[in-house]
Amino acid sequence: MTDMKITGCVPLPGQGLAARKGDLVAVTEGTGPGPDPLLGALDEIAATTGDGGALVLAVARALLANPEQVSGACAGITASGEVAVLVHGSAVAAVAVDGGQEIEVTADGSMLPVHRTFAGSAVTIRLVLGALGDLDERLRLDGGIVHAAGLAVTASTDQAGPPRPKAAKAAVPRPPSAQPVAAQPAIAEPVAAEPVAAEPVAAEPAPQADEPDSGQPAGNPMQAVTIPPAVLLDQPVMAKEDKDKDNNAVDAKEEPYAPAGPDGDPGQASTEGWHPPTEFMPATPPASRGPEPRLHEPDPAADFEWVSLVPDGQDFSRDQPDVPPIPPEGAEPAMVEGILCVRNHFNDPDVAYCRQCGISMVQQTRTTQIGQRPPLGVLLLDDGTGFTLDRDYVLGREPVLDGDVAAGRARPLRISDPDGTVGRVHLRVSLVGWQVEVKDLGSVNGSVVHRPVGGEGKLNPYDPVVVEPGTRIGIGQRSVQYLSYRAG
Amino acid sequence: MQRIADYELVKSLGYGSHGQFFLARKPPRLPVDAEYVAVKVFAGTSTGDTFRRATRELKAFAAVTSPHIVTLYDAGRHDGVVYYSMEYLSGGSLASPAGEVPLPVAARAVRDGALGVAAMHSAGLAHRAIKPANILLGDGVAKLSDLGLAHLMQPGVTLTGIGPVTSIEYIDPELLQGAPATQATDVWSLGVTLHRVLTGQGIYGADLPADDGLLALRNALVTEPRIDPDLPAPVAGLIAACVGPAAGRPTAAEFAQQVDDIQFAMSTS
Repeated sequence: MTDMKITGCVPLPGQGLAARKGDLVAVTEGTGPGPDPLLGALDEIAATTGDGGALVLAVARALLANPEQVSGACAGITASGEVAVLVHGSAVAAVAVDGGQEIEVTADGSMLPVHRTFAGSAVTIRLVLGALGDLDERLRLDGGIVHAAGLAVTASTDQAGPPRPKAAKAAVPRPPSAQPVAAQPAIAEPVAAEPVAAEPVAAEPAPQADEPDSGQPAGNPMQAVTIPPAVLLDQPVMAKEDKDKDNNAVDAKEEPYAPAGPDGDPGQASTEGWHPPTEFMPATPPASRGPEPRLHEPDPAADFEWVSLVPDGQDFSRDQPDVPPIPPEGAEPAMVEGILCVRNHFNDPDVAYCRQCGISMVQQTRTTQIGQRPPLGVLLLDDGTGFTLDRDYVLGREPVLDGDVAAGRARPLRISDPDGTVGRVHLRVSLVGWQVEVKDLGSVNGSVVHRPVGGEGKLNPYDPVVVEPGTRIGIGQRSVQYLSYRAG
Repeated sequence: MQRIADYELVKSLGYGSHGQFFLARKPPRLPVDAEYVAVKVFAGTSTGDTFRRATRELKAFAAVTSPHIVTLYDAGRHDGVVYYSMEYLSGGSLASPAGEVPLPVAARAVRDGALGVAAMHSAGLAHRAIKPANILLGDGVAKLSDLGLAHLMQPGVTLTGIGPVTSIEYIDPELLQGAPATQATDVWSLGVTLHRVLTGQGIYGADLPADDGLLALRNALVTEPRIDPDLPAPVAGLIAACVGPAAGRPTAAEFAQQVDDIQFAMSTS
């Protein structure tokens, strides 16, 4: 799944700087004095995780910390094989997924960068700063920094490196108009950002044909994903709306909650210049992202049990009122040998970068110590559910049937699968030292390991295998991925 | 979804932790004087044992008497799907209010929610899921809702795959790392909720990515909390204490009192 790579990268002549390191790219005006925030972030992430998602975050932070309003854009492949894109200022990104229609990402004059993530097996991204010179398709950027007003990038899962089929098409760039093209109105003016009216929350999200729901497997995650407009409603757009509120608040002299001015309580002198929003803005855009809820529709014909929760209410639950207590989890946390990074995060002695903060461990003394093992990452189910890997898990439709679950040696991770392709007790995920092992528990349909590097293979029953971060394990129609907090 | 048990679901009210809320007509069997109730339906299906454990926690939650906690009516399991019902408050929540909420009212709602949390803590319970979406706005009073039950429904879960992943910002990173929920981790959530309400921003600088749970999780784990420097010093100090070392955090009751004091000082100065 992480065999997504940048397979083509054509500099677009013009004013500006374009940079590439591996599967990370950035373009920047590069006009400001001092080090360029985008290029700095690119170097930093390329040297640590190399993750496109981390690049987008690092660039966003660098841009927000930078007083100059620099226009720029960046893109990179994320740990999960998607393409993360960020634009800021007047820069524009045009993205096409699997030959589909091009989607334009603009910050539309916002003070804040805007980012999106795209999934597909072939994604073309054009990052454009401004006016472009004549295109020369002989140009190529394999790494480093060049003068250019943009980049035409192709990312695909095709290891052979296609002769840039999409790149050729995509490399006929439309220069952005002086007024950067606002994305579709639905994006520029998110309804969700309006103060919410009578309907407190979005009604049922419209069903999307190609969105997997509970019972269905995510299938090949590299398949074309139609991005519904709702998904494109970015948090930063919302934040921009907040900013506007903020600015409005400057005029709201009558705001009753306005803090004391300079003449007020001397203890609150620091409040000068603080302008609260005139009204409270909801924390999350209610309609911004409606994942298809994994609600199971109960069969109306089935009977139900209920327990009154009002004082001295009745109990109509079925018998066995004495529930066995949750099996106590292993009392003592696992102790392992490890080393500390400079920020005191406890690490596998074999890693080059801290698993938690990404800082280099190279200069650290290699003196190991015994400590409590931190979580090794996350088990991410294909429906978006994530589980902390601080204990062993047993996955299946009825994992409580497993003896180790009953004994509290492993947590049950219940996976619904109406078609029964997932076994009742299917897969064991064990933490061994600093490593994660998976073992098929003799399931009928077996388990298939898809490694980030090294292809896929079926697990032999009861034969534990060490997997590295990024590995996805198919169990029946469902799948689960092991991801560390950092790369992979 | 149109029905669960004998509830006729009228419309969706939004997502809660690990499930969805619906407005529903009250079935005749409930000895409650209301036409409509709110019903939370949990994602997926659960075993009878899980339902009974959840019921036990809900009973304990329902037994906490506080004007700042929603009244629960019943809990049930229909064809494996677990739900529970409670009073319906028409004002929406702090995350999606039904109308405009003046800032002082919003701050007071956080304080009301904190009083609900304090009542739970006095009863020896932790809430585990405090966030703006779980502070409901009633007539002149706000109430704490949606007890966190994810640890029972799916032990170990940190991303529920339902609702906006940005709710991670309200969770003490210690919990994300597998530590057990405590009263101190609830107070962390109260502090972040107050910050969000007063500034429109979370405490991780740029907002967490809304569409990438793992990235949000990673970001929450590696980013130091940052209090908006423009906040008045007393508010900033209170929030900083909430997201600081657990030993130095105020109790939920102290938090409520301090919000009260700060609001009073500001409205009179």
